[in-house]
Amino acid sequence: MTSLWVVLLAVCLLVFVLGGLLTLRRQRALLAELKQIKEAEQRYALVMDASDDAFWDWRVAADDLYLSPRLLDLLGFAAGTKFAGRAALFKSLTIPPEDREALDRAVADHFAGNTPRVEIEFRVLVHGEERSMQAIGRATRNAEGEVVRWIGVMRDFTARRCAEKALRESQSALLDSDQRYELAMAASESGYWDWHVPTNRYFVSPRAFELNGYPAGTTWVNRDEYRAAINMHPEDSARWEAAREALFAGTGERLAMEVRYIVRGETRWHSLRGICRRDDTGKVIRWTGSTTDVTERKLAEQALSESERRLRQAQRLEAMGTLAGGIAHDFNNILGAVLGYGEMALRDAPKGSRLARDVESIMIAGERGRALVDRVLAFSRNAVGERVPVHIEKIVQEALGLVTAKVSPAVTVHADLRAGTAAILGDPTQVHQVVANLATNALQAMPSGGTLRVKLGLERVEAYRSATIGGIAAGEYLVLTVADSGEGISPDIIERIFDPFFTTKEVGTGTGLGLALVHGIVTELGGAIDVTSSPDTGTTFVVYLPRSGEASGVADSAEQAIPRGDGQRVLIVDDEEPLVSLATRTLEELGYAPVGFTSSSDALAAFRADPQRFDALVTDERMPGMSGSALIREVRDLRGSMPVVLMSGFLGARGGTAESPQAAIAADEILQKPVSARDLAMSLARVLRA
Amino acid sequence: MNLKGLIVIRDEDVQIRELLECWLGEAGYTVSGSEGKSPCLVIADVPNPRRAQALMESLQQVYAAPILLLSGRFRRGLAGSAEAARRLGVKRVLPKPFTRDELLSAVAASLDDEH
Repeated sequence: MTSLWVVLLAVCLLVFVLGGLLTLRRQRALLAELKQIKEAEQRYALVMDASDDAFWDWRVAADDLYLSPRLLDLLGFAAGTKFAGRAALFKSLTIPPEDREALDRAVADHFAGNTPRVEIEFRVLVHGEERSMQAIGRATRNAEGEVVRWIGVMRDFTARRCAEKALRESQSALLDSDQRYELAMAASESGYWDWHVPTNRYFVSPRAFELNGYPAGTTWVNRDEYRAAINMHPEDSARWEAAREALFAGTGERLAMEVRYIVRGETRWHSLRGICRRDDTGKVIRWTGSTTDVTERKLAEQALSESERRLRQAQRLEAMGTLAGGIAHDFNNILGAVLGYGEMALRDAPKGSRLARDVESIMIAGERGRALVDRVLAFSRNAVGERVPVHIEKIVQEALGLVTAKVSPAVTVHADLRAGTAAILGDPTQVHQVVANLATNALQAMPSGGTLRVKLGLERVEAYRSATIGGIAAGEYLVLTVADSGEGISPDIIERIFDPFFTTKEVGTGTGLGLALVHGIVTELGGAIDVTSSPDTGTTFVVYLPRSGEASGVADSAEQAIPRGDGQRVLIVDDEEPLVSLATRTLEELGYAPVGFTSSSDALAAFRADPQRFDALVTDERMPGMSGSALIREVRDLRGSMPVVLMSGFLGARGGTAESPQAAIAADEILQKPVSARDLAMSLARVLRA
Repeated sequence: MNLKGLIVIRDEDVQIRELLECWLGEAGYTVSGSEGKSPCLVIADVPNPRRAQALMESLQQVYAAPILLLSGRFRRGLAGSAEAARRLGVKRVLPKPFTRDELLSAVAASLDDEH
């Protein structure tokens, strides 16, 4: 603009100087030129009007102010508005005082020659709306340096300011949202990761590091570091990476998985949820997700399914027990008829006849059935309340003595019994069966030798916990541990080992009732069983029986249930010395006068020498030389009324090919081996009374 | 014969009942399967030991005589049987199946106080 006015000025000067000299033609030419200049000026004004720029020109001395039409419009004045001077303009403008002050200061500064130009923003109210203006101006000075004109342009910055403000706000909103996200993540206890695939930049949130047990301040910059340092369980890590790679290779978006981490040696379950973003070609560019510790839920779920399993097992065993009880009832009625009528038939059959032998065989079969049903009954719930105080340590000693008497030299037996006189309420024979069955199973689990450990102790349980079978409420328990060093029980059958008729032994060698019986008895006694098994260490059964006082004070009532002898002389015959000495000792304690033999022929010789010397015969069946049944025949030939108790492993437990049915018939009582002291005492008392 | 008094038998199983009648008859007892008048002994089967107490109560309302309980669900050779018998208020319980001698011994023991 300045140049425009300079040009105009120069033209006028030229006209003035040359005016008198010019011819009319030349004057006309000059006029034409002036017209052109005017046209240029008009054109310039038109351009100015059309332009979005606005300018001002203030002649300081005359206080003559020119505002371009666009500037008038910007400031909200009607076109053609004139102002008497600069002061008049500012009087018409509403500018916030601080902006006005800054504006005045900037202009004064510039006029004073301190700044090369003025560039300032200020706000002004236009039609009641605050607009932002930017003014850029420069003073023109005369030779003395005084400001003669003040010219500049002005622009409406409002839109830009708005955009900037919007940007700031959105940035702050973004920041807020980031913070919100962090807060939400913190609140949800989750951590997150973010992998920018093209750059391999990897970010893991501090919370995720914390959850996984890394020290505060841990960072990984790329995913290789993640791969190298992540403490995910190797199985799960392989599973997760495979699934992620499959996701990346496909078109899917999300992946969720529950995985294990090993955090400070402890397994923690995390729920991972990832989402991937792809570029236009479908290539994954970002892989982001959250990790949430779900260990508590997982444990609760496991506990729930475990308790459901227990419940199912308890129900199954309960149902089997009920079934067994019903079968036992009906079957014993049937056996009652078979054996009862058999007994009568045998009485009438000519002695030694074929008929007598056949009926005897029927009765042996009936006896076997009876023994089997008796075992079935052991795990059915009788609940008649057949309970007396039982001195556990004594029973465990007895049972162990019997079971381990025949143990092979390759097996070492460690017994550590420290329960003193502590007692439970129950049935001594049942407790005996529990110990005998567990110990027998343990020995059978070690066919090529090993170590049998039996421990008995007292334990106080402070809070309820569940066991493999049943639950252990707070209280004091007698704890019996029977451990073998065998091959262990395979995990897929461990749940079924307590089921009746479940057996891993060869057909014919076991009834599959041993552990069912243990389970039935322990449950009825209000106890619980824990089983742990591994191929390395073998199998350990831990039986918890609720303690009920001391046996010393109450032992007498338990003893009362066992009939005592009164000096009767009992002939004991068993080829195994330990069993002879055990039986001898037991019967001595019960008030009998036992005489033991390990050879059946020696025993027969002693009997033959004085048939009236003995009041009863207790004999094993299976012996070298003369069998138990042969001995009984010989004895009965000498003295027909001689009371006889036969001990046999035959009933129910084995196929029974080797042992004689006749012996069982001839004997007054048959005891299944292993024989408890109580069973022996009771049988003996019965045969002596008869 | 039949001088030893009347025994009432309460057992649903016909064969067992007949067997009891036979053995007890041989031993000199009179046997009735129904409501005999003032028996010296009642022999009753316990189908379910859990309800043995209730059975005892109903029998005791009808009979003043001692009671011998039989059951296919009693176990043999339990030291606790004596305790079970005591709790049920009888002298003896007799597990099925039983021999003639076991029966007669249990009957004698049940009648012990009465004679």
